[in-house]
Amino acid sequence: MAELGHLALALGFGLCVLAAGASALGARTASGELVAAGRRALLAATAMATLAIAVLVVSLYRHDFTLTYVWRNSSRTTPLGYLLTATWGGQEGSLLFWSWLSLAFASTALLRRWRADAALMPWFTVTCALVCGFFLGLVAWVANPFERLALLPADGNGLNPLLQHPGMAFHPPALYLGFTGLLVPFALAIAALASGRLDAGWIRASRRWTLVAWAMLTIGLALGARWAYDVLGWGGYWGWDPVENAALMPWLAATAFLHSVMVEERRGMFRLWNVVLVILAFTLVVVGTFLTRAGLVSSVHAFAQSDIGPYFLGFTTALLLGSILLVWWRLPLLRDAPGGVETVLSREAAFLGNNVLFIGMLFAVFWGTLFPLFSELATGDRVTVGPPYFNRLVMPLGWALVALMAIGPLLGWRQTAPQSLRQALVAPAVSALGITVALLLAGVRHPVALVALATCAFALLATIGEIARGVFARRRRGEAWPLAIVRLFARSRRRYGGFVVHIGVILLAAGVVGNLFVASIEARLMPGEALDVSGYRITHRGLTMSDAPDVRSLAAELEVARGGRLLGTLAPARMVFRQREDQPVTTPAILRRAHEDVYALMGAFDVDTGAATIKVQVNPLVGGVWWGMVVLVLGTLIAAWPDGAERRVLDVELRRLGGGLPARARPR
Amino acid sequence: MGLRYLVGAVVILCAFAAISVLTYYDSEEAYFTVDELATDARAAEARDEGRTLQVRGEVDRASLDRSGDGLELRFDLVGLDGRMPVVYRGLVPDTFDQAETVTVGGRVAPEGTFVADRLFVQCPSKYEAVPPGAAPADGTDA
Repeated sequence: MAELGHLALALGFGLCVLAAGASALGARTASGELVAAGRRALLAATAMATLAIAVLVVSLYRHDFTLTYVWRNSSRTTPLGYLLTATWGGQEGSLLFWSWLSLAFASTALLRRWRADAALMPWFTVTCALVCGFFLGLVAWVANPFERLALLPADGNGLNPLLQHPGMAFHPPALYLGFTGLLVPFALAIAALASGRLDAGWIRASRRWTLVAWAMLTIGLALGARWAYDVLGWGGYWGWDPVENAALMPWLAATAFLHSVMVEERRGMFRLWNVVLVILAFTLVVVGTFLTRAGLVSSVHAFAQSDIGPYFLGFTTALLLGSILLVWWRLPLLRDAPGGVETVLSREAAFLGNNVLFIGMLFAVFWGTLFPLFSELATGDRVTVGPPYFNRLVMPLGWALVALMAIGPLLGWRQTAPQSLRQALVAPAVSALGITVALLLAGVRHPVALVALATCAFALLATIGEIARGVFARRRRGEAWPLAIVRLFARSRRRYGGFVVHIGVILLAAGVVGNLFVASIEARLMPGEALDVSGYRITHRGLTMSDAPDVRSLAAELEVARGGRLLGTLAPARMVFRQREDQPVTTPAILRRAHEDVYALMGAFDVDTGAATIKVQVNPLVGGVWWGMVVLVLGTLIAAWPDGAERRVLDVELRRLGGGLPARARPR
Repeated sequence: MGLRYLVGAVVILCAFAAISVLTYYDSEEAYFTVDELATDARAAEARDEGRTLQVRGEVDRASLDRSGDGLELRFDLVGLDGRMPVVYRGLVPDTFDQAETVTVGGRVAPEGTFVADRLFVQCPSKYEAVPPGAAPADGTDA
């Protein structure tokens, strides 16, 4: 059966090549038949990829250990759910998963937009076929999940214990959905360039894809952060690890893109920039996945060393060069509509500012992650930068973005009357000042924290104020409260969904400020001894052991008390999974309180005396990070939900802006 | 008309890029193998100036000393011909026991011991298990 899988891969690759060729030729000769053939080829390639991945999944569930991949990433005792996640747990499987997702997205977009964006579809097919063909070819011949072993082992090696966690089950798929989802906006942009249809049609076609891909990236990043915090045990959720950064960079570019397209849709500006931005976002996706896999960086994520490096390098170079050439060729068509940013107090200026900030962040992260590699290649000297570099550069920009969130949505297109702005911001500003005073009275003295939290409060209140204004406007027309709120969100999903996303980001920012107040302590405790940190008394009661079929664990029983009152018990543990006896896993225990977490980890221990080396860390405001992420995703759901009325309004606008008639109505 | 704002945006970005690069050089940490630490000029410079740096080498299991309050780990980091004693305070990563190569971050004390406050375990490729009947994978480092 593995041969079937491999055959499917090879066929899929061939079909992609066919699809690219047929569609390209069809586009150049305006041959509807060739274009249709290309489309069929891409759909068939998707079917082949589906077959290949199905074969892999079935092999995993059948415990077919003759396949190297199955042996390496699963065993007879791996829980059923995690057998599925083993599909993407190793290098080859994850590449196959990636290829399949890319093709699935490409095909879905192809089917949905075939008629609506007919002019773009041929070159869209070519681009998708080329990209997907690369990945499929890579899987078929360089990183083959269907490689066979010389003999049949009795049992498998087992899934890496670190991956046997619910967060880990969803983190890679979410990220991959985000990464591969960005293929569609990219391919649409390339198609727009190639076909010369550079009206905002490609933006309209890609809008929901970008939003959903962005949402999945956000979820993936959030899950990764949560997993790092809950499982890895170093007490934080973001380490500026090169592979974390590899996922963050496309996210930053995509966020900038999500905002700047609004300016093109509304006023026909930033047209060149939008094309550049989406190409940048997808290139960063490819660079990111290259970084993660080619053994260039070592981190908790790094896959095994493999030979795929040079292929990736070649592909990325070709992608970037090809895109740049296309943009260069079409430069004359990418002129902005007349007008421009007229004044600082305008929504356009705010979006410009927003983009400057995101690109600034992107540069800082890019430089810190990739420059060490380049400089090592050039000079042979090895250097590295750590969290201090990233935090120093990214935090101020993040703060500026939060501040911008307060003002931007209140600005009008083209210009804003200063009085209306002042009116809207007075109450939030005064309240923020009040909150600052309250914080000072409560004992917070850290100037950076005070400024940051004040800004968060300001932005939060300004955003809530905007929502409230909308609700009141509907109320004045006689609508009941609940109906007013629901209808407000339903009628203007993008705007008000966006506000909810912003609220999520503000909560997240407030949570991040908590990092300034982290307190930690380490000590070796005999049973009965205690340590004190941040007003908590942590008493070690002794070591406990437990034995389950697939895992043995040893934990330290810790009692957490504050002011004499027992708050709870923590049991940081050291687990040994069967099959991976040589890879013990230390898991932290977390007491989540409303305003801070008490986080405990056990290091060394002595079974005879019951002593344990305990590290306890208090993380203030970290709940804001998690709730912020939840609210963020909720807002994205609201914004992304299909909305008929809004779309009709937008279509009229786009038509007016010189998009002319929508592609389908143009004569062929 | 809107050109002035676009130019302004570009100027601000360039300024920020310059700040990033400067911050980079300010925060960068050089990274050596144990052997290079003895011979490399930059390493000597970093050592004399008391700057933090990272050193990579293999752990000499025989020299492992976990005594003390369990918070301190002493071991020798070895290269092809270099040897460096390390004192590390902090929690030890799970994978330390199986790791051959580790990286430590910290400073070189005047008497030659490396005082480390960070300990990274590398070579995840070594955890790509070797299937029965196959030759061991060529475990080269990144």
